[in-house]
Amino acid sequence: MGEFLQALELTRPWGLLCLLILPLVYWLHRDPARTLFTDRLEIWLRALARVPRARRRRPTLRLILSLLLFALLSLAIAGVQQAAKAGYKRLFIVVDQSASMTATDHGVAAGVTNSRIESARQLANQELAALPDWIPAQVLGINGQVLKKRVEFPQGLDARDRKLSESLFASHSGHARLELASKLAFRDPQACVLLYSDGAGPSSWPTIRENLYFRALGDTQAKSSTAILAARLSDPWPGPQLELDLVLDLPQPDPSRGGATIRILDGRRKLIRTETLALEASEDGHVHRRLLLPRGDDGRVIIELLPPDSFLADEHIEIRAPPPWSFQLRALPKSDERLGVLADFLNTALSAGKSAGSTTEARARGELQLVNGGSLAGWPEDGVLRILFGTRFSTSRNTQGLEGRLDWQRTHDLLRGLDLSTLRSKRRVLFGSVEPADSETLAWVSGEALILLSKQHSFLWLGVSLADSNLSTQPFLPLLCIRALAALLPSAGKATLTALLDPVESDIAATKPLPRADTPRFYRPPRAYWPWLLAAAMCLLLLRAVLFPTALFPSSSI
Amino acid sequence: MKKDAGGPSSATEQFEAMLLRLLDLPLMPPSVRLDKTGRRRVSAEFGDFRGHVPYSPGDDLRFLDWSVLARSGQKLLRQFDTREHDRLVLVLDLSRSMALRWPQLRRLVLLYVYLALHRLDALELICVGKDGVLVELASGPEAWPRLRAQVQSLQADGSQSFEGAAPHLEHLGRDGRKVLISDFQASATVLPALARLADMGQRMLCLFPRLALEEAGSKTLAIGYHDLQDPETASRLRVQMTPELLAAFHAEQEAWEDEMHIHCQELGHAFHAATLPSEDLASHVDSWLPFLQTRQRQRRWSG
Repeated sequence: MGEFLQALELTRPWGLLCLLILPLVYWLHRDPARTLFTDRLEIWLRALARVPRARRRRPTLRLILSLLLFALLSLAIAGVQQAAKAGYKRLFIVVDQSASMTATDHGVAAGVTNSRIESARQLANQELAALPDWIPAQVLGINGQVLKKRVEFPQGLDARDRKLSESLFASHSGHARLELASKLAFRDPQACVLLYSDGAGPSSWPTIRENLYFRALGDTQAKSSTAILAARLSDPWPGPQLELDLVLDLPQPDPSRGGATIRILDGRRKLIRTETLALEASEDGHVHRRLLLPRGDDGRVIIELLPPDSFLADEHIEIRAPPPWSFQLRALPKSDERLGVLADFLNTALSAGKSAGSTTEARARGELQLVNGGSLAGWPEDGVLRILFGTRFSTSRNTQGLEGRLDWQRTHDLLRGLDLSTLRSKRRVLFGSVEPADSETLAWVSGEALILLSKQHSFLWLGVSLADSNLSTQPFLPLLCIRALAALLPSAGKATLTALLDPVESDIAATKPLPRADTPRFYRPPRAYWPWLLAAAMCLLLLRAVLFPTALFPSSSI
Repeated sequence: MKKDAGGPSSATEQFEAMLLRLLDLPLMPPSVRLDKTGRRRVSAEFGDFRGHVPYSPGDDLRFLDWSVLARSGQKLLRQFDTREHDRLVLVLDLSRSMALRWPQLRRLVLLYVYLALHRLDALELICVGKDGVLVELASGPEAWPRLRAQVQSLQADGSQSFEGAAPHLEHLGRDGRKVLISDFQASATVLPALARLADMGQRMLCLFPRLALEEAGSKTLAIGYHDLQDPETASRLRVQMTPELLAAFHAEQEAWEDEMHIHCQELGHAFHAATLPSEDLASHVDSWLPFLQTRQRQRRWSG
């Protein structure tokens, strides 16, 4: 109570002069003594011995109410307020997003799934819950490069507006420059910086500052036993499977524990393959493995090393192997269902549908135009791949059906094993007298080209349209299209090397910062009491009017 | 105005009309009877016992002393003095402290005077006031106008208590109607004075006329701050009047009356307290009954 009174201050001290009214109020409410003549003073004295408090003159309730009313008004005018308390005016919660923060110190096998960063999230939630309302707070992530605001808090929104979600506390695969927290504390002395970190590996605790407080997480004895040291996903386009090369760091063979297991999942966490590894290290002390994988839907491959230890970051990687190229179907005539069926087939067969546009490099060359009928003015050289069905050029002309003998290059890579003899058509387009220089005629009828491939101009031309022929139902058509695309993009296949954890980050043993006894003290703004005093005075006025009605405030009017 | 002008006169007339009605009722001024046995009661009815005389046939058997007959077989008649001169000795304390009670007490004195003049042989009014001790001796109804005027002119402004009347009581007998009206304040002086009267052989009926305020259960005082003043001693006492204090006062008043009753009984006096009727009830006979003696109430006055 004494401390509270000491913290009070007056914004308008001259307002206390209003207290001089109190004697006047007392005088106006005085209750003059009624004189009573009695010869029983002796009896009255005895009665007073029974009721001693009757000796004192007690103020009336009306007087008390009036005095209190004017005292409250005087204090309200004087602007009584609680003085401001010095302290930090902002709070920055800086979270170490280094890889070691994902460690679960006791291991998933022990049933503890809380990672260090999850513990940091819970602690930060508690810290924010206890934070005074007037202190703005921000949550910052700190990784190997920068100290940045989380995207969940654009424009530095107050972190207390919402519960900190798990997504806020995603960790980075590398180390974190914790010294940035020290710089932040130096830059803003009025801010309190709380650094949540484990101080593990290369992310050591920064220089201590007055307004920098550490929240240490993690076990100083924790260590990682298994790790994926290297992974490379190769795409031998147009081969049907992906090649995965792994380099693993496994513990010493332990017959009682059994071997390690590699589990491969696709982007939807559907199990693709499981491989049990014999614990046979090569000369360099690591385990090397090559696996063949089918193509996934979107090119994502998730690799998990089992059994897990307390550090999942080096046992769980995700490789995103984009398809060799991706295309967009241009000018697709929606009215022709047969063209749509072919497009769907190509999408599925090449597993490129969901990753369309994801690779900028491939996009320039990855646009495919399926054209049924129509005409082109010249040889296109815009990089767009085209499969043309009965499309006319400037020198083309129409003729009746497939008259004559149909023949094709049976040993050509595109037509090997395919049978074109069942192809029928009511009409046929003759390519014309001039063909592109690098064009290659794959099939012909009576010496006139029926299927023609031009790598320079990136098209496969067929002399019959889908509308006039049975081409869409021919089994060779899809294979021909796929082979043609592979021929037009022969060098699309490539290997993908996913960024792996820095080996030094595998040191997940936490370190403790220098101990610090004090706790942050936050700023408290001045708190004005005059509205409350005014409200209390109004209540007293009402009470007085009810209890002691006057001509100005008759009781019936209340 | 008419009401104000006629009010007091009318009240006085009504009071005097009531006095007339009193004569039709078997009411008497009180007297002290120190009877402790049935024999004393007989003595009170027939006079003082003088001795025995031999019984003769035809004598009133009421005077036969049955106890002597039982003891010795002798038939003796009890012989009494002739009936004593019956008079009322009224001692009035007219000190300033009685000023509060005097307006209503005046009526009581008038009532006693009226009854004494009409029912008794004589009245001796002893007033201890500012001018010393005033003694009025009168008898017969014809003295009523004079004494009424005398009583009307009395004022409670004396500085001497009732003990000043002691020399005038010396010649009086032991029994009889001797009524001392006072507020009996303060105890330190009153009790020795009563003891001196007792030493003189005087047995008094000590009558304390209560005010309505002093009656238990009365709530006539306003709640608030009061300045209590004793008009006689000029002592002052400031109190915050509350219902609790008023209740405590009434309790103490009752306790004081009980104490006075015991003290008086020890000294051979009798003590009686009754509430004076208010102005509007002064003309009702019922209001005065606590101050009067009836046949049934005779024992109540005894000490």
